[in-house]
Amino acid sequence: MLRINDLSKSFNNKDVIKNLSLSLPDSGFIAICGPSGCGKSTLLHLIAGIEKPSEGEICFSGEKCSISMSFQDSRLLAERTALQNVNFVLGDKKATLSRAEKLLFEVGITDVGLYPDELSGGMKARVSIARALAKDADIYLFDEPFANLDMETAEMTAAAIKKHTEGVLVIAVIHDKEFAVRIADRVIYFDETPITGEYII
Amino acid sequence: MKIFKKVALPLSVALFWLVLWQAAAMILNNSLILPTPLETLKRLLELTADNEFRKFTALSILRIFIGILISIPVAWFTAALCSKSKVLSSLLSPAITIMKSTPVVSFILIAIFLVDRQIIPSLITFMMVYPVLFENIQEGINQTPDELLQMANTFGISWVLKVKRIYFPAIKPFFLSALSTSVGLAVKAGVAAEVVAYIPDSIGKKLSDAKSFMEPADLLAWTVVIIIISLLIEKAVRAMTKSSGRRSKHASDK
Repeated sequence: MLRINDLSKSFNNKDVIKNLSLSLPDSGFIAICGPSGCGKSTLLHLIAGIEKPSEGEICFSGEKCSISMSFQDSRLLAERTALQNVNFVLGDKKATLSRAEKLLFEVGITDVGLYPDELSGGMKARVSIARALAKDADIYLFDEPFANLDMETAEMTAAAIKKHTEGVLVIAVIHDKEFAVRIADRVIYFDETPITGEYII
Repeated sequence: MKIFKKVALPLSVALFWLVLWQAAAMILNNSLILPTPLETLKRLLELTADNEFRKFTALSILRIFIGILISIPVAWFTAALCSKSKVLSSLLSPAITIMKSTPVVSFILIAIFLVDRQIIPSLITFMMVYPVLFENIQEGINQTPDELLQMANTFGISWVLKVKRIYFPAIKPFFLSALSTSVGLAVKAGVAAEVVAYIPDSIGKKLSDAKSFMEPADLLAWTVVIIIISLLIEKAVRAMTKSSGRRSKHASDK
């Protein structure tokens, strides 16, 4: 279980998240929707530990909680191929290349030898998703994973995400509310900035 | 057009300077002051035919290479340590400033009193190359993208893999460009050290002898040798820089 208690985060004295409390179960696909710039990505960064809260706390059930994440800006290694980028989180070993390749195929990337500057925005996003799925984690965070994808590819990618995250918690920031309702178990909609309120799921 | 740019233009430039040299030598009309290009070439050919030439040249290059080769790991190691420790960085900062701003001849003269003569060229080469490499490696570390480090931390990537796949590619262009600019400097400083410290079996000693025995053709011939060595080393490093800049798709890694 993931519990967020009275969480606040501000940048340059501007509140992005204010007194947010949120309880999430151990498993399930939770979609977070809301207008652009309302602080959804910041919330994922706080859960991932990339940002530190200004106030409040984030608690995980269990002593160790591993997190995997797909970033909005992909964050791929420029000098490594799509396959090598996915294999990076598997320890960069030859033995794990076939697993990395399988994950890429599942998200529709067949030309696994391309470098990031040879990939479209949508392909980069899918490589980033495959990389996130490569790691065994308790919580998977996806920041706008379907933003640059057509509906068919988004459906295929969502299916791959669901297949590899059974029994664990997935939190995905999704811009398209209708798509979020269709694929997620629960949808949280933040309609104001800063993000605030109390949510128990 | 391409042939003109690649061959004809450099040849014309070389010819222009050779004609200028020839004209100056003819005006002075004294080979003890300025020998003609032909006299210098003749002397150069005589020198290269000599077994001692190969020995002296090889030893001089070796001494310079030792200085460069030592400065590379030391620069990487200290730059990495300084990026982690501000205290160490502050401690090392004056030493780097001194190495950069002190005239090379002062270092050579001090070294004559302090260390064995044979190691002076390598030591001076090190002191010229190390600060340039150190500062550029540090700059590379500072320019390493935070986003990639955050990504690696989220995935719990080992520090070895972080160094290999994130830090090293970020530092590489800074390091190679610094290496490329500092090798020319290294050759000049290394030979200067050989001249001032009068190192036996060295190009520097030959230069010094040519000056003492009033043999300007020898002086110019050895200078041509130094220029050729410097250009060859710079070319080799540039080729290395270019080839390592290219991405390679390993068959096994796809």
